[in-house]
Amino acid sequence: MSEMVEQITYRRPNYLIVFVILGVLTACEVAVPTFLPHRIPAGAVEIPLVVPLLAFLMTTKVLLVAMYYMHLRNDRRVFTYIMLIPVPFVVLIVTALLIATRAG
Amino acid sequence: MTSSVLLILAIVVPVILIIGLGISIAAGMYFMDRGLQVGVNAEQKSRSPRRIIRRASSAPLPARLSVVSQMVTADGVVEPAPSLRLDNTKLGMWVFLASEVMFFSALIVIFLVFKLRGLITTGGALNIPLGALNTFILIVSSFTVVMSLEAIREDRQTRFQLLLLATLALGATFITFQGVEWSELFSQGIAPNTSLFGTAFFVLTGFHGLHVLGGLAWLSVTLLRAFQGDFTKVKNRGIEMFGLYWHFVDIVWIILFTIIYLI
Repeated sequence: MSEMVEQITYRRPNYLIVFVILGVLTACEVAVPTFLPHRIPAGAVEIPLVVPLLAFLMTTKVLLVAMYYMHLRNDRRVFTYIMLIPVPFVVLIVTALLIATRAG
Repeated sequence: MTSSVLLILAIVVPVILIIGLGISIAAGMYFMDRGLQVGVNAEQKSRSPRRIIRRASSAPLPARLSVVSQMVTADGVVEPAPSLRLDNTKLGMWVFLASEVMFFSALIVIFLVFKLRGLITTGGALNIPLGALNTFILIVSSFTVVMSLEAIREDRQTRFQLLLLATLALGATFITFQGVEWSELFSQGIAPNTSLFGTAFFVLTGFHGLHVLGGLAWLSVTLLRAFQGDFTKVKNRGIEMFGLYWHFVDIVWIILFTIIYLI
């Protein structure tokens, strides 16, 4: 590769450990809605339990794949920024859809 | 909400998102590139010894860095010199993946909002164990891809080829199980045109399945090249690019599995 491209060198992560964690998290994802109540009572209100847990597990898995398998953790920061560009648009469209479906 | 409104939303939303992404990236690249060029021009003017672009040769700096400057890669390919010190192919792949994020985000968001509004119910029709197995299969395939990249970087050709072959087998297994799931749903009377859930499910998993099929086609060509000894310790950019795409497809399925099957 040309010297005009900045070379990134980094210590190789332990891909096997990442893989095992991903497998365990997948098993947890299946177990959570099966064994846990969807909501837990807290006084007069009920707090959702399963959905936040699933969202947390899913986000962890996505971050593990992106950071270690796609090497975003060690690669040039600009690639992470590129992947973050869609986020404001997604927020915008969620807001618009929530408003549109409420009106409908 | 009428089906025509839903159809318009499903078409217009991804288009708006993709156009928005394109404008954002183009503007970002333009200003970053301009910033570097201004920096280089100012440096030449002041004759400062500090160099913004690291260069191997002692040749003088060009009058103005430009995307039409050329360089020779390790693959022996002459291509436009990167003005941001980034690998052009890799940059292009990440921009492509960002556009894919927009595409799938639009579809996923529509599905979630409909679910939140109670317009979509699965009614226990989905095969969760099969979905979980498919998730695990894609995770294993991501592992084999990343290990194949490491293998070729260590010049272990046989291990590299076997790992790619395993990835191909795992991807084909995923598609097969997806077909089993689809046929189960059809047998229960759930089709793309029978309900909002059917439409949303088949559109989401269908587009993802198309991406997996595309990945398998790419992998087949890559595998043929691998068996011909086309990749080496220094010439392996194609494997890295395929890996990025495949991991992205894996990430999309991780999200789909949670929001369609579990939530």
